Amino acid sequence: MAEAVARQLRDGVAVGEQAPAVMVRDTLDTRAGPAICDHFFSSLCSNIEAGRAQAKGLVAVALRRTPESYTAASLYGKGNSRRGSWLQVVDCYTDPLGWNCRGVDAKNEVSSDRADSAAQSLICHDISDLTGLLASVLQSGQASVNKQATVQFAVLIDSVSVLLRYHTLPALTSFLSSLRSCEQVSAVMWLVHADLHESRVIASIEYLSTTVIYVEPQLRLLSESKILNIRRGRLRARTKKRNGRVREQVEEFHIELGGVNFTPVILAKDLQPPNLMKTTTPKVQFNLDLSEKEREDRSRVILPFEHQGDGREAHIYDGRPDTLDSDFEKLGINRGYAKETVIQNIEPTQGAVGEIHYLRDSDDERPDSDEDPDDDLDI
Amino acid sequence: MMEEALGWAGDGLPPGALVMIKDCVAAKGGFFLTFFLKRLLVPSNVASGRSKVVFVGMAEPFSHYGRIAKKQGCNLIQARDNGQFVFLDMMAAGNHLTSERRREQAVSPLQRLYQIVNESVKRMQTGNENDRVVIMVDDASLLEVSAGGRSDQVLAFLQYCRAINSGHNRCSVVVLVHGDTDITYGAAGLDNGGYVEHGEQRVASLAHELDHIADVVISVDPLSTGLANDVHGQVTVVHWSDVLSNRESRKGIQTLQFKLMENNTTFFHPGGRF
Repeated sequence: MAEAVARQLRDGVAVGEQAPAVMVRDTLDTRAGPAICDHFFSSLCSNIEAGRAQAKGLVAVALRRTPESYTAASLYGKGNSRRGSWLQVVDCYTDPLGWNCRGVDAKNEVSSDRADSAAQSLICHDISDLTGLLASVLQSGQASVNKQATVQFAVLIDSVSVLLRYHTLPALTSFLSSLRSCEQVSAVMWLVHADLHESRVIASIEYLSTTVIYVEPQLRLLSESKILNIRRGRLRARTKKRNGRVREQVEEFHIELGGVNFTPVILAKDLQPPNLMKTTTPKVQFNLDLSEKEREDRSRVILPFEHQGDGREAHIYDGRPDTLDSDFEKLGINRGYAKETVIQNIEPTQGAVGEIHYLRDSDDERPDSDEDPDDDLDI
Repeated sequence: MMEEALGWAGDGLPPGALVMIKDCVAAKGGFFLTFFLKRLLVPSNVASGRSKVVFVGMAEPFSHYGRIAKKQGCNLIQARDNGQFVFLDMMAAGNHLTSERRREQAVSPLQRLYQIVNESVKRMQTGNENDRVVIMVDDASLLEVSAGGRSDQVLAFLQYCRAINSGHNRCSVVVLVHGDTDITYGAAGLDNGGYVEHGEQRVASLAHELDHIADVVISVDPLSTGLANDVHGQVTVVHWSDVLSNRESRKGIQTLQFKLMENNTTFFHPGGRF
């Protein structure tokens, strides 16, 4: 599913359509939204670098993070520490309200600030002017594709929540949709902290996006234990197809040092008993299972300790009156082979068979008594 | 103990970090400001370079912080004379926020305050590019009052502070916020996660918004079991990002209890002291 979203960003816009928009929304329960955003950002970056993506340039609108974090730092250790001019940053972080412009030494600072990253970033001094911001984004986009009018670029807005602080909903939605409908924009991605805004605001922004990624904790936990969810959670992606079909997929994610790992959710119906049986068999070199013939052969083997006589139950006389016999006697029935008669009956027919005769001293003695039988001997 | 929980060696905060201390009425978190002041101004390792501190004091006068820090072995007056510490007293009558000068310039109060902070940081620069400047704010709820209840101005102010360049590094910010007050909507309370619900709608409070931005959140709460003689409260440290400690070394969430003493604060694991 994560690949599908990355593919959507890579493939970009179809002719005559608005650019696809991916919205990542998180809450304070996980706060993993930025990490998920970074994942898609870096996958898009590698696609652009390899020339696989429709977009040839990328504009990051830095609202909640420093512009350096996009240009200099390698996100999640992807290796490419310095990105090419195809990545441009619109810096709305250092001076969003133009407070620096009025200071005397502000200009010096800005110039020294821009010395190292001048080629890659454009400072926006007034984010309350959305038209100006849109112009800056398009200007940076032009720079990212070397001013070729037919080549497209992608846009990342790292927090729409910051823009919502200064703008009304209608202004913001018109900004986002005019961004999407620009011919040169290939794909747009943005992040929203959903619990900071009213639900109608979030819903309106969701209408503008083709894919909404809900970053959720795995469990609904109390506020004390929400911290357990910092690094793992559940991702629910709702994708709207052009024909109106909506598809929703769920995956689990785990944020690690090297990036974000996605694993499919295992549903209860997939855990069928045969699968479980198979998994419990240890993996060994030899065959633990039996074939049908082997099983048949095994059932035919007669074990030496089994009674091999006439199919009657083995009866071992332990000296006590048989409980079964006494029950029968009470009912007035003679079973016919009581202890004495058994011996008598056997004697004439099987005279050659040896016998063991055992006489107990008394009925008090138990058959398996531990008592020494000779302790009353007087020698 | 606290340094371990923070994963912080005490040698200056990483550039651009935002540490948020969230307290409540029942347990004040002001002592953490002194904790940070002492660790920043009196480093354990001198070679790592000294940090400089710009303190925006809105809740207490300088003498208050000076007295407490002195008991803990940190002389603020000396540090101020060294140029290592700047105290911006916003309590004093005729301060920069309320003075006539602001009205003349017709700029928002926090913009004016930002310009003052920025000037102070620039004045502190010595040319050493490894210098790190920490801006401490006591407290953000009062900033919101000065801004006329506009939390977006406070957030912009804090972001501007983080974006100030001193040498090669951006400034880091330590800010104290009251988690249970919300100026616009009354006590939002911690019970419903810091936001107020108007029917279906949620309106975020300052502390809640800061929660989304902060790199490290230190929450100071009273003991859930009630008051105790030997334990004065508990502290929860949450690392939302990896600025202060790397991920392998830390244990995720840490809860410690503390005892405030005259000249020190001791931290210990819950139940681990007696």
